[in-house]
Amino acid sequence: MRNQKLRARLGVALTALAVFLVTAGLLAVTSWASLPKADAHEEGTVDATAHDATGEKNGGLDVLFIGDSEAYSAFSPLEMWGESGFASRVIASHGQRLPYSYTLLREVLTTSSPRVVVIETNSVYSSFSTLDPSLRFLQDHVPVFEYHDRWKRILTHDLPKSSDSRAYLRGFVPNRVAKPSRNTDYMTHTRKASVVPRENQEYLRLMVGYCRAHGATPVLVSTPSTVNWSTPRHNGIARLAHGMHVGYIDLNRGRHKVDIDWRTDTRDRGDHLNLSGATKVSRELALLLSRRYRLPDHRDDPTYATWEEDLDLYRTTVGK
Amino acid sequence: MTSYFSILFFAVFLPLVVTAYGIAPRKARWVVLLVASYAFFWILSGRLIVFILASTVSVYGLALALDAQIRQRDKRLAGATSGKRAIRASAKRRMRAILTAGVLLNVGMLVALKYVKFFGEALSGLFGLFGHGFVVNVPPHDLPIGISFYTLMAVSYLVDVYRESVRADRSLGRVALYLSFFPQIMEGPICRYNQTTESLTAGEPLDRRSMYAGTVRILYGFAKKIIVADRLNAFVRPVFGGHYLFDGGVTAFAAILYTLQLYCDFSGTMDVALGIAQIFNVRLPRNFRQPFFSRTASEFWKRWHITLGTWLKDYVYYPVSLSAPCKRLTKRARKVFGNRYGPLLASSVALLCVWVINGLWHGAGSQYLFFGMYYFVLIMAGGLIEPIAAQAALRLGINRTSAPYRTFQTARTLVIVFVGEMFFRADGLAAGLAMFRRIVTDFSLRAFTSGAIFSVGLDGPDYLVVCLALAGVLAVSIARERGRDVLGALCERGTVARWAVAIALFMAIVIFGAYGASYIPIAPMYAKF
Repeated sequence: MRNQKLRARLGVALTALAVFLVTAGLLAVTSWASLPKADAHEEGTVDATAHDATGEKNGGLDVLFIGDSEAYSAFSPLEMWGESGFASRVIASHGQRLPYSYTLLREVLTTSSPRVVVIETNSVYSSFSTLDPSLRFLQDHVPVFEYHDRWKRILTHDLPKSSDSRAYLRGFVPNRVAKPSRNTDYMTHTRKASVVPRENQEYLRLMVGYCRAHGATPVLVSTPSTVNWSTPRHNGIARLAHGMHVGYIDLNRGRHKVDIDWRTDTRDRGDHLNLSGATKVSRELALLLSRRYRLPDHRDDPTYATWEEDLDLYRTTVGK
Repeated sequence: MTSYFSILFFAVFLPLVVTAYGIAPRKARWVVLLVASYAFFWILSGRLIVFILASTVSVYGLALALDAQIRQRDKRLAGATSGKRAIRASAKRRMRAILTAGVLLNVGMLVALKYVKFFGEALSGLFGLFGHGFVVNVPPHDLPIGISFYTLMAVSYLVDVYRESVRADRSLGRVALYLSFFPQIMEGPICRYNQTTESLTAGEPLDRRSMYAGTVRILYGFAKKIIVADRLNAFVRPVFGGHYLFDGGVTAFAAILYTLQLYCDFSGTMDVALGIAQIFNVRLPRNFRQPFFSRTASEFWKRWHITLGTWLKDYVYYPVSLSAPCKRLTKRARKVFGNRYGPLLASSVALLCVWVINGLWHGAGSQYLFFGMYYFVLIMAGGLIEPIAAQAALRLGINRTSAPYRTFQTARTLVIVFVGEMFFRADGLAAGLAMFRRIVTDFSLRAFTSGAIFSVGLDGPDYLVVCLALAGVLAVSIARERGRDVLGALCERGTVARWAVAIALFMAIVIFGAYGASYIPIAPMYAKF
């Protein structure tokens, strides 16, 4: 009798173990198969471009930009290359929250050693649920939960790693649409400060610490946006940056203000910049970063030859 | 956590409840379910929990008051030698007053929360018609989760006690659990007190078979909702949102896909609800019985949202049609229209009440009222035409039981259902009528022949996945229609086969589910009703 019970329990335990192992094995295989193998935006996968900062075959990165749609709409690495000659990359995605930014940062810093890491500040204010970090953990370790929708492509296109996985635009998403913003007086003076949620502060602290531990200088940058930015937000970030001893550049006001024409430089009434606005921001920021952080000019360096080729392509296709 | 389809629900909430239920002593297990149900309600609706508390306390108290009247009446009847009729009549009057108070209170809460905006707008429109600029402003407010469902359950409990088909429960906790049981609170099924309370409070232990069957049913429901319904939304949403941009062919296709989306969403959520309940060995009634195999509109409503249909039949149709005024109407109608069509007049009054309530129950909007009237007219017309159709078929030599005729009937019913659901989904009655007009006057297959259909939300592989998933659903439906217990048969299979099915379902959901950055998360569709 006792033996029978013991056998039954052993049977249940073995079944549970087998089910777990088979499921885990299937998730591992599908995760491997679903990982993006090339530049994401060209492939139509929303988020994958953020992961693809390892596409630079020659030479290393000097600057890394992290953030949400504000970042990929405003920072053009090829424009900056044309202006100052440093190599950069944008690892931004729509609605990116700081737990995801931290994941991406760790992913990139295992293969690259940028001198400067720019954190766009809109995502610093984006709140996330307590579930986000655990969901993030799941997606980080079982990528099929994030990239499952690529099943449409994997069998026909990129099950094997693509031979040309270099991301031509380096994470920048150009947009030519112009929808003017009426609210141009969005940075009125006030001493009020918007509070950054505590859990966001914790993640920012983790990111800053991780950058420093890997020899990169973290910088907070606020891109121009009449919808997302304000003086209270500026004050909140300025205080936080001061407390963390991190540099802060606000392109909306003060001496670093970029001369954005809100009639022509925004694609959605002041929320995001369009190509014209991004060009202005990228040029100004390129000069500022290269001067302040003494970034090298690689334009005569043959190991960065692809950058020149891509800049020509960029100027042709983007219409410069 | 926003619904059963949240990660937090399945990763944290449900495992915690199952563990607590498993380790609790048998007598306390229903308390675990009650605490979990109120926690679930609180997480989803916060302080609006006071409304379900008010409903619970009111029906509990009023049911006890009804019970007291019944006991008093019986006691008086036992001791009386004459005047029994008067005793019964007097008790009936008092019981009717208690019942009316309970129904008014509970339905009043529902109307106040759900329909006050609709009536406010209607009143403003009325003032406008007479040249008055008076506007009734109703501030926006949230609805407690499942109010449309638990209100009907509360009313049915009171009526059943009044009818003496159930005894009033002396435990407030049990009544509270009956009304709030978390797997059914969002979208039903709309249970009766004597259908579920016994198994809810029995504290049956967790067992392997129920756990497995419940899990597979949950996975099947997830697959229907996340693979099919949520994916189809990518096509349905833009077409219904910008219907003026599409021709009649695309509009008709959208009506079909929306019907499939609604079915997979609602029946999928029901499978999840029934699966969760099954884990606790609680038996909830089925809400769907292969509705697309129906041969008439009337039969369709006996197979679709069954618990709402039976509720309306038991608590609206019969009381209205058996009421004294309706009986008088039937008597007079018989004299005028004869024995065949006379009774139809009285039943049409009851049917009208059913379909007005059915339409308005779904929402406070003209399209819902139209939806109810649409089925009222069709079902009434069906009843009137049926004898004529039978005679015509006889004369023409058409065998009405033959497979081709039955197929024709099913196809005809499907068209009726697709059109009805199109009005139901449209952004208002005007939009529904415009879409219908486009189907009739501007029908074209251009979008299909040119391939443009693949640029509206869904591409070729999307349609392939939807077709394969629907083929699976169809196969299960055919087996059920033939009387086979698919889940029961699966439970009888060997360990490898059983778990292979569960793992395959899980992997299909993970890979082909419409979730993540590329999709808009969609809450269970019937939860908003």
